[in-house]
Amino acid sequence: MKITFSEFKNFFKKNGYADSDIAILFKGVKGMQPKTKRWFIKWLFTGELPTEKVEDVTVEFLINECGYKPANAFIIIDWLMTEPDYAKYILLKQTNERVISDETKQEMLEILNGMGAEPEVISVDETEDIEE
Amino acid sequence: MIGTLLLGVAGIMFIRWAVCNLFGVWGNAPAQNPPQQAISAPMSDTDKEKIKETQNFIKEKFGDNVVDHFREIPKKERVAELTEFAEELAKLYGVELEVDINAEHINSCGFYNFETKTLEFNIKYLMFEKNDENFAFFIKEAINTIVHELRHAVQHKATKESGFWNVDEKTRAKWANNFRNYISPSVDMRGYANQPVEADATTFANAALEGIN
Repeated sequence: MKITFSEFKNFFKKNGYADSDIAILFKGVKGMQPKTKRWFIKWLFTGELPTEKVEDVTVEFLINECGYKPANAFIIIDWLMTEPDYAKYILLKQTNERVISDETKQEMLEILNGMGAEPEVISVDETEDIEE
Repeated sequence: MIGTLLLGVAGIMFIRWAVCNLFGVWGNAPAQNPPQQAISAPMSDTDKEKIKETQNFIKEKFGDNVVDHFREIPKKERVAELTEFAEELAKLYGVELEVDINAEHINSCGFYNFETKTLEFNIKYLMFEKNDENFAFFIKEAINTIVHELRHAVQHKATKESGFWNVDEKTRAKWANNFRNYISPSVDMRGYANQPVEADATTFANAALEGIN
């Protein structure tokens, strides 16, 4: 099973994600282990969540008991599989939802231009896909 | 003040729901000792000097045992002391900002507001009872958060002022690009932790708190 970036974008746009966050999320999902990718794609198409525990938590627990968005919960489960100590360390901290305003982003762009440095853009080719 | 304390209690109840559900599963041991990935961002010679200064400053303000110091003072004084600590540390770092300890952002421990140049810090971390099993963790986390967020203020100033803290041009550009393409923890928690400005702030704060009891 696979999902194209176009399908991915439509799904998450309907769920309130900004374009920039969709690109970030796509890359985060693409970097997952094959097993987690398979769970994620299945959830995207069927709504079904995996029941397997990783480090004593499930995707459902992360969503319902900890308040994480579903896609983020899959990324966290994948992270717990690959770097459990680091993941747990960060998750137990009360992380801050930091919003960088458009004004600050513009300020950073002007600084980069002033330095003669290349501004980076996170983008995804429309033809890219995620395959399990 | 009473309204603020009530909100602080509500904040504690929230933190018990969100993070403490994970505490219930893992305990707070995984958060006590930072793993290698949380202390591995490169620190310059200037950073190392500032880390040492921060450690000395913490001991100067709160003595050899920070947790015991806060256990013995009333909650109202905890707020006053940490506000003063944050303001004085900001001066030590050469960053101009205001410190605002409040209960407005109940689901955040603290953050640096780039637009208003304010370090906002959540009162809830200071409202735990001294015999709470997680008291030591939350006091150290409160100080860690202040140092972490002040490091973001340093990063912000360094992108704007060449030579601040002797940050090299490559790092300035890396941070400026990261602020432009910031990964939110609500979107991708792993990406959030690994992005340059967060990995740097996490390493800096952990190094500054090393050996602090």
